[in-house]
Amino acid sequence: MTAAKFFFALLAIGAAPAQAAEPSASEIVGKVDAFRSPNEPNLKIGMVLQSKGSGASSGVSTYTNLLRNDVGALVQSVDGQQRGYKYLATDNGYWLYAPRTKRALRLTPLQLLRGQASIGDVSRLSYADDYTAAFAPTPRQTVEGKDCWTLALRAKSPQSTYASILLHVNRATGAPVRALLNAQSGRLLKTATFGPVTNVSGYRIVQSTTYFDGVDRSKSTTVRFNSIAKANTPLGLFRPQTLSITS
Amino acid sequence: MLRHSPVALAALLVLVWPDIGLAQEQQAHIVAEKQDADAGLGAAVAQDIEPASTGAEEPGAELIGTPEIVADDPAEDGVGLGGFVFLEATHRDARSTDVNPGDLFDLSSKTFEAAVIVEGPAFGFTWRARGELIGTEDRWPQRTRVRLQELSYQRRIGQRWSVSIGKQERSWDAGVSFRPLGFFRTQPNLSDPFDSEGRQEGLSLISVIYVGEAIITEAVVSDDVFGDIDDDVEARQWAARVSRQFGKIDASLVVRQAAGQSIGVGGSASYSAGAVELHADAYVGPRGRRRGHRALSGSGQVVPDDKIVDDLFPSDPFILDRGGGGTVLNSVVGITWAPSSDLRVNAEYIHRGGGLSGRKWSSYLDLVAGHRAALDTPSRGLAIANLSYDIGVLRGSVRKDYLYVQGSVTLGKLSLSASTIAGLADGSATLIASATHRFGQRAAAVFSAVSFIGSRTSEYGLLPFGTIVSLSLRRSF
Repeated sequence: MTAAKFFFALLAIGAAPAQAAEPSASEIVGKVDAFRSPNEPNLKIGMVLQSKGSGASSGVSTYTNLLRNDVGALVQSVDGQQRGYKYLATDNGYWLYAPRTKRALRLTPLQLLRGQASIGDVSRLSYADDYTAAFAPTPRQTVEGKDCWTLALRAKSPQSTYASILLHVNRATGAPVRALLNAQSGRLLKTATFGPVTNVSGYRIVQSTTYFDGVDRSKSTTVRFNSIAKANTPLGLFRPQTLSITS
Repeated sequence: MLRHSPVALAALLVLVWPDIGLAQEQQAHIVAEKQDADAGLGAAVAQDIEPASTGAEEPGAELIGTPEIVADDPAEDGVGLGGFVFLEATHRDARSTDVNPGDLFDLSSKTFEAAVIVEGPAFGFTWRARGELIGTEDRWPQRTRVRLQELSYQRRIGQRWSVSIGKQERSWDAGVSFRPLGFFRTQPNLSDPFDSEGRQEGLSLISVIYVGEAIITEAVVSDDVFGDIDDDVEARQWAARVSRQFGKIDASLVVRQAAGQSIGVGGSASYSAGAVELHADAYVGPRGRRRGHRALSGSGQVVPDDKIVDDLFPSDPFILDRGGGGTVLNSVVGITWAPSSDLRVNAEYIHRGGGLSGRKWSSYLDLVAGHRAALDTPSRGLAIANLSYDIGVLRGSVRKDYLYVQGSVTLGKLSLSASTIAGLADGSATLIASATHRFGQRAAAVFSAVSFIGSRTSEYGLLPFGTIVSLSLRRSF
């Protein structure tokens, strides 16, 4: 072995631990999920949606989001025109309950909740559950001045809201920065930008996420978590047949 | 204001229908309302749900900063007020059939309706009221009515108990076109099964629900406390339901007893997998109370011909059939296919155990023939009166077995719907088409057309209307 070969062999050995320290795409997604929602089995989240540029949908709306990580989410509108409307998201599908119709109607996850925010945006808060992750062809990019990993997520569940997502994650913190949310055809449906990680009811999470329309960027909806509390919501409430019961 | 606005609307609509007769016969109005109730599935849901995002190519503009929002936690027991204004013009085109020979009753009509529906929660109470004005171009308003459709108080006790008391609807059915388990609400209006026009009302009841981890139990007791329920609705009753989820199957078991009757049992099940949902509701119980023609009443007994002759000219042939003996099965089995938020197809088979059998239908046709033949006798006046009652028999779906198919598609702001309910005994059908155009998030215009087809002696072929068209405007507030 020449001196040069020996030098490069040492370099390779030295470099190996450094590459192993680089987290996998799945690990990065797991950390992103932890910033999107606390890892608790049963939660009650108070959230506010503010929409701009969406005509009559513009304005502020308040919702309660009951999350059980073994079932799904039950989102209830508590003010405005949609007061009493409920959106149920489970692995079996999505439903809307309108007080006047007294029955649950099946929906798709892309159905809009308010403005640019889809039902899936507020009910499916785990990318790891819904998407397979891999590094994008250009795995590192600078987004909004931050050094980011770029991940390509592909839907693995029929209940996934989007067919694919290009996710930019801050390398320094592991927090999500931006996501391009795409349809099956590959067209851009929406862009999501994630706010800073802050303390909400004792949990360090991304408090605000803003969704911009894929075509008209003047249309946006910001989803903000105002309160988070552990809950004890019974499993039985996460069924289409029980949506008439006050949550 | 309300007095003049519908008239202005009427003036506008007269331009569309310039040469239309007016309703003149009270019985005809009953039938007309029935036909409205049976006709077509509108695109009402589209008004309740915002359409899916459409999106396009890669965005080029710079991202906008996250707006700052300051809001308190949700106030869950607050006070709210909402509702909508509803204006509708309807034209019914009469035709000559065996129950309306030569358009005897001159049933073509043009009617107008203006209504305001107000609803909202207040300190734990939920209420909804409907005020309406109905009239014709000659007489406006012909009828004024205010109904308190719902007033109830619901309270959660801990995480698992819920108690509600007051006038309200309870929905235990999975089917769209028929409700075998609809003990605490009216049967669906097929022209508006999701009640976008705000016409449905509840019953006065007390409901207690226990939500377990796996099983949900509900017990309900109801009565006609306000005395405003039709006497053929069995308002005094109790019922209980136990439901549970088995994987992707949601199933429930129901027992129910109406006052003075034996207990009936039923159940509901639905299965969801991707874009497909299968569902079924069934109830086996006493025949039940209903208003019907004297000549066709009874517990499954065909009226003898001589009895028909005796009953040919009764002063009031309609009686309240209290059911008596006999058990009947009411059921609906269906499939819903919704591959996207913009496309939905629903098909259901309906069985009404209390419907008229083939023999009873023949008796009815004989009755009609007798009355029609009497038009050329000195008893013409009585014959006309009885033919109007014969028309009344056709209110609602009166036979046993039906097929219901409905499809809807949303194209941007436009929603299109087509549906049919067809009688399996005679092949006659009601065909319905509707188009809904949304204006922003709060307003919509709905045009619908209904047509009745079938042979001269078939259920829908007998109806004295060929087509019904309507245009309605709705705006929520």
